[in-house]
Amino acid sequence: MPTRVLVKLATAALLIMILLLFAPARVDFVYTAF
Amino acid sequence: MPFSPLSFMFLAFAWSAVVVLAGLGGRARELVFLSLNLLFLSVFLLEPTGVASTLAFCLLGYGLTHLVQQWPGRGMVLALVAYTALFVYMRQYGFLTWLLADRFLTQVLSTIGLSFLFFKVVHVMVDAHAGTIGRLRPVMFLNYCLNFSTFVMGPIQRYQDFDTQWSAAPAVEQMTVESQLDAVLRVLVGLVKAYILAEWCRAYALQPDTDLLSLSLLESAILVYAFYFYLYFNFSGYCDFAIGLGRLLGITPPENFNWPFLARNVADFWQRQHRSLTLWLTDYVFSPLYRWTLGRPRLGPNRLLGASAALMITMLVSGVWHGTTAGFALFGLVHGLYLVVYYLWDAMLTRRFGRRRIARWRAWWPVHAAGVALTFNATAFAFVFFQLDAQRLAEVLSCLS
Repeated sequence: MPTRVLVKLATAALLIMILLLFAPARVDFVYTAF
Repeated sequence: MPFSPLSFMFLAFAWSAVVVLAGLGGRARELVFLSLNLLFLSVFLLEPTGVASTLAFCLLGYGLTHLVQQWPGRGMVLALVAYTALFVYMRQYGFLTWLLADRFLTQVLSTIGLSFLFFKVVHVMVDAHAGTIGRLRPVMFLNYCLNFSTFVMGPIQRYQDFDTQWSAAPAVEQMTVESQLDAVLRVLVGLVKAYILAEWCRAYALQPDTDLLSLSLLESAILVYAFYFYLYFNFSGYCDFAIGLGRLLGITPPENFNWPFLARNVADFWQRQHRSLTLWLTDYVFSPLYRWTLGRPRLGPNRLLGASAALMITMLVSGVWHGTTAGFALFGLVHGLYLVVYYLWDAMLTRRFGRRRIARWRAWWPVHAAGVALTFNATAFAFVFFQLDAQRLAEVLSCLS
């Protein structure tokens, strides 16, 4: 597998971890609230 | 019902949609996508009355588009007036309280996604009238209107692009592993922006009940900048999510953001911020208005007057499209004023010094940096109107005067 794809996979894994650790249960999307 | 793209249920739904649609073709794919769109509306977004009113709004748009195609002259005016009136009623604009009795002003009709839906249908009507859209099939029209990947907050995709992309072979089969990974990364980046970065900014952002008058200039500036970045991360995060999901479904919506806080002037800002809206407003509001003013010699020999009037009206439409209160109309008018001042200033400089000299001057980094700083502060200030209701606005203006 090319290094570029591995880097992207690692980035995706990191983003998923960040979301699991820090994301609140839900957010309000502003353009639906106005 | 708040929409949560990060919920397990929605992620499972979206992934199933990608897999199921990739294995289908032709009519079956259209019908399954329509079922998925209706399922999305009824399970993840709206109450039954909301689903019914949204569907009725789409079907009326379809009927009126047919009317426009069959009866192009007066049919167009009639269709646009009727559809706009219904949109204004369903959105419950504040001024309706002056025109209608309270019993007619109910909140049972859905407004989620309605502004985006309205602009999509008007685009189809106008393009069908101009002959750039051929015979509309009801299933494709409904899929275009209710497409779950962009229904909530855009970007505003054109029907022709949607139709062309949909007619091509299912995207996931053609995509390499890397391009699928790119699409998933785009979804994840969007979720991080909307769920984490936007929420961090929201903690410090201007709130509707913030008493700006009791704060120092620095404190006010922090609240205003945080609100600007909250809006940016929230909306551009949603758009990244929609674009990534759209790529996996084979119907990629247009890009909507390109670092708006780096804009050199306010015209550049609207090319970088909510770009699909800017293009819509340019095609369907500004251009017809400007063309109309060109045919009116009474408006004066200078084209700038006509262009300025067209810009002010266009940005007013943009403002009232964003929201239903007076603050949103003011947001539009302030941006209209910014654009008029910018174009007049630009015309004056060009006349005096010549286009080449001005271009060289603008490329010089201190002038570029000053333009970015001025545009950033001016546009951040204009977003304050999103959070001010009429009473609060009156308090602030009376204090400033």
